[in-house]
Amino acid sequence: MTEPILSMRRLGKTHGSGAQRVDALVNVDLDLMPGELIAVTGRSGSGKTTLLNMAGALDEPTTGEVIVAGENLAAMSKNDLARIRRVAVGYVFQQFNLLPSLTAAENISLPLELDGMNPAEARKLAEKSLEEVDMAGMEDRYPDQLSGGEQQRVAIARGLVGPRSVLLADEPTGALDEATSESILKLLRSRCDAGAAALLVTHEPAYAAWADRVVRLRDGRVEGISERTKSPLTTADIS
Amino acid sequence: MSGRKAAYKVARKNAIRNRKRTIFLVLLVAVPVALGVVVAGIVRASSLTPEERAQANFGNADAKFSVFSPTGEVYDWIRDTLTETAPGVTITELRQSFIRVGETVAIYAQVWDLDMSDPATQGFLVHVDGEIPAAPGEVAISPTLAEEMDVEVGGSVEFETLPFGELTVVGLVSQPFFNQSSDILLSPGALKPLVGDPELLPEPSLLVSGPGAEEAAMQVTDLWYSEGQQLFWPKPAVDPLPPELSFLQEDPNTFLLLTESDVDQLVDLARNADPGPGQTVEQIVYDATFQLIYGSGEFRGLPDLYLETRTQWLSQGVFEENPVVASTAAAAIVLVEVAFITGAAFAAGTRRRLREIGLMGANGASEKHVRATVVGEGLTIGAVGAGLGVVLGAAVMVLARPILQPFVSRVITGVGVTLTDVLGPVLVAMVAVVLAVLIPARTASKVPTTTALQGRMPALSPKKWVIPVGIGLAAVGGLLISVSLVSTSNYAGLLVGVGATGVVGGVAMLSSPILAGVAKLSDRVPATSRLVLRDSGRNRTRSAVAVAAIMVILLAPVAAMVTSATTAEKNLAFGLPAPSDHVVLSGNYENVTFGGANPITESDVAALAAILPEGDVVVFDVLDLFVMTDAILEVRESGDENSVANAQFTDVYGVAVASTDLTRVLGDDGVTTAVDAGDIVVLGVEEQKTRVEINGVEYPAREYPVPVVQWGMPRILIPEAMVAQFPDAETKPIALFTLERDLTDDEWNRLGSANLEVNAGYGTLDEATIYLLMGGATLLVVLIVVALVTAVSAAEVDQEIRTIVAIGAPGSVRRRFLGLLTGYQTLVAMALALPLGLGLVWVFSSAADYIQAGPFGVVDGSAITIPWLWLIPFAVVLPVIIGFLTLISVRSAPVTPPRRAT
Repeated sequence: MTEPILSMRRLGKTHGSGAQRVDALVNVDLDLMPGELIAVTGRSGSGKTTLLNMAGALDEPTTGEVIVAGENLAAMSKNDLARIRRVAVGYVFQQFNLLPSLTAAENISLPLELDGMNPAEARKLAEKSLEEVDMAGMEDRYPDQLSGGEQQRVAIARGLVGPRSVLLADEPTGALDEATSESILKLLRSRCDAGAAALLVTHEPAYAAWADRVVRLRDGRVEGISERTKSPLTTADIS
Repeated sequence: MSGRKAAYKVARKNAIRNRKRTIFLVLLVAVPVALGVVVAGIVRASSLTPEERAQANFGNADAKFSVFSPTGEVYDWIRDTLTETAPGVTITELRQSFIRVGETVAIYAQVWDLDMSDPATQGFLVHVDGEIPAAPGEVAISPTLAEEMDVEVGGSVEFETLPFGELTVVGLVSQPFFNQSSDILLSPGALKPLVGDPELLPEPSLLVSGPGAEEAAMQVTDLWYSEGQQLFWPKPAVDPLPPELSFLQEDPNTFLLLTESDVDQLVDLARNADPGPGQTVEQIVYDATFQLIYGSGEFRGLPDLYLETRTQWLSQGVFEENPVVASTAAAAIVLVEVAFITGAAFAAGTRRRLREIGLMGANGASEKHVRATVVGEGLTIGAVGAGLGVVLGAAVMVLARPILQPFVSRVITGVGVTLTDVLGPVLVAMVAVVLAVLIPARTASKVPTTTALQGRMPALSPKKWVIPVGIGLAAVGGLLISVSLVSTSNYAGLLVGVGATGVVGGVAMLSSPILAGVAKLSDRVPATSRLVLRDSGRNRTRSAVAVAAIMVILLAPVAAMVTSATTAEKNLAFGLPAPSDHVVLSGNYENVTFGGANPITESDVAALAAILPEGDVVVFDVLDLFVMTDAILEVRESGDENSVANAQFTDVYGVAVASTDLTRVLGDDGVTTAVDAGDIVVLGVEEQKTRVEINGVEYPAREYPVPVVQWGMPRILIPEAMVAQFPDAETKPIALFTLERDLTDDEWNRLGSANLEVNAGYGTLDEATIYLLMGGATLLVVLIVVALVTAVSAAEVDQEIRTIVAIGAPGSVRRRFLGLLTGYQTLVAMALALPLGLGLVWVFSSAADYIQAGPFGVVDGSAITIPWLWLIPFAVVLPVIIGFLTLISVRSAPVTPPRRAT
């Protein structure tokens, strides 16, 4: 049986204490399999971003554990967590967050170079990654020379460059128009179909329909999980 | 107008919303303004107003006669004529003299003989404590003198140099504007009987007060010269003068003052004079007459009267430093840096507020409105900062009054500054802030609304005009400096200021294209370094401003290092710097009024040994020989190179006989060996091939770099065996004390008051220490500027760093990034400051049209010495240290996702 690439067990996150205590996440169990796209939905404050931050080694859980590519994040040092972010998981943000002073290829190769890879080799992988998101030929463009959709494609390419196989996307279409958003979701879907795994946080039920499973969060708890029955899912499945 | 009002409203609210940044900038403006106010206060407190100066000189009187009378008495003629001219005036006699009152320890004091109850004397002295002396034998002294002589009210005091005997201190008095002065106030009229000898009495003054006092005093002065003075002329010693001196008969200032002996000498001179070409016997005799009358050391003069009036003094104005100029200059120097930092802060702030600016545009704001928002915020901050600065400065003046008063030697009342004093710093602050925000305001206004709404700053392509304009500005500045250097105009100083500003500004402008250029070449450097280079190239408004700000600071140490090295090199013409642990005793001033010191005696050596008990002393003989070395002193006109080359330096200190004790104390084996071998030694010089000529005969000599005191101490040593070659030379002893340390201040003071001819080397810092201190001070100031610039731009950088962390960099990447960024900016600033500083020093030096020549060489006054061995490490190490200190002092980035745009 295939092992999950990302696994969360009885994950909990509490902010504050006493009367100020807020349970951002409570006993969340979730496995993300290779090739799987999971959409995480819920209202504001339901815990979506907290879940994503812990999956991406950006935040530490109060209880439970996160296992990425077979490695338990709980026992890791800060440097090891940084390494996980470089080699295992990639982030895609609503505002693209490309570094404006680097070209598209340089933005993508940055995590590889930070991991010690030879710049020339990193560049090759970056070019390949750009090809995979249909951005071949735009390696030397700077972010401000790209449209919003193109920037997000570069961000997805960066998130999955080299050995990275888990993409964590936080409202990746939040700053895009409908048509561009759809193209980004298609890209995400196709990258997952090619073997990557992705956790997609979204408000839009329509966009969640591209996922294999939809996890509904409410007040930090998993309210329900919808399995994919047909492609794409209908909004009825997740409403 | 309503649109602009709305824009200012947004500006005001923005300033309130970004409270931390606003407070930071307000303080940044306030501190230099406060500094300016304090400087104005100190300058104002250090200088007197015309009214205060008049009070210190006239008391409450309208006019003052200083009377020069051989008897020390005021002529009744003056009183009588004054009373006749203006019956209503009052006349008060005053005697005051600043003299040495302590012999063992040098104490000087102003001795006053005045009646403090007389209205005319009000304001000369203020009553501080105890009683005013009313009887002979009583005295009041100033608190400073009381402390110096360790005496209190009620105690008794005796002044060593004054024949007053023991006096009872009944009270304390002080000069109102010089509360650190040493004063002695005797009871009215007590001075004359105490002194006894009328010739020793201080010159009397007459204070004239009352209606018409000044006019009456002026009339009396006219009458004095037309008829009064001759009433008191002395009888001539010889009348009429012999025919040879008849031409002197017409001038009372010569004829009345000559003694019989003078006349005999002058007649001899007139008969035997041998006038050279262009000279006459009369001229020779006339010169000799003045030498006899005024060069004898005894005072000889005709009775005279000197009038000063209060109105004259008040019309002279203040000659001391102008507080307004001082405060403005002090504030302006610091505000140049403030303008850079404020500019960077506004540039960063504008980027952060792009969406807000976009929203303004979307709602109809024009470019003008956007500019008004940014400039309005600057104005608000400038106004609040300047106001706060004035308050802070005034508060410092009030709170620091106890510290400042002794420092400026007077009582400070109120805040100590006037409205005009603070106006300069306030205006400079407003101008600096407005200039600083103009570029960010223009940049913000040019961002297309759609781009601004997306929060994106369009990439700025390097402005093509920046390079030619920068070079042009620097060239025009250089031209202005060059013109000013050959100009004799009163505006030369202004030209230098404008020119130097142009050069510095022009070069600072080049930092932007340099940063852009380097960024383009960064493809092959490691990731973090590449990010730094690209960030600096992309955000040039921020980084170029930082580079310019640092460059301006670095100019100071670069110029100072070169100037220091140049001065040291030029001074080598006079030999190596004097050692600070050598003291030379070459004479005493016992009973010497004019002329040179007496030769030293054993008791002089003992007196010095008492002051310097740790000193190793040697007494050696000096032969009064005419010694010449290669060059001469200083020639100030160009074209004199030939005369310098042909001239020689006369060592007026003769030659020292190199006894065994002397060579031992000098402590150099080479000197000892050379002297033993019978060679003449030249001290304090090396590798100059110094030629030595004694009494016109050239002798072979060997140089040794043994530093010696340059005054009093001969620098030529001859072996004892050579003394016989100069049988006619007069010999006098000199004592050399050597210590293991520098002289203390107390020892300096005691040497100064010991009535001895003593010379010693000053405890100056060596070259390495000077450079290290300069480097340290520079590091400190650059760090402050770097910290400020980094603080204001960190928000902008942090957003990108969070992204880098999110994609896998550890949080420490922020420290590496900022460390590299500040180090790189300092390096670029250094790369600009180094040639610029050298160039400016070179330009200013090139105008020097003199040649510095000493006994050991000749140096062109326009030559500069560049201390490369110090400059290069300084240029390389400073950026590394700045970068490293930034790296260890900033925090790592938090491991959280980048902020969402709001």
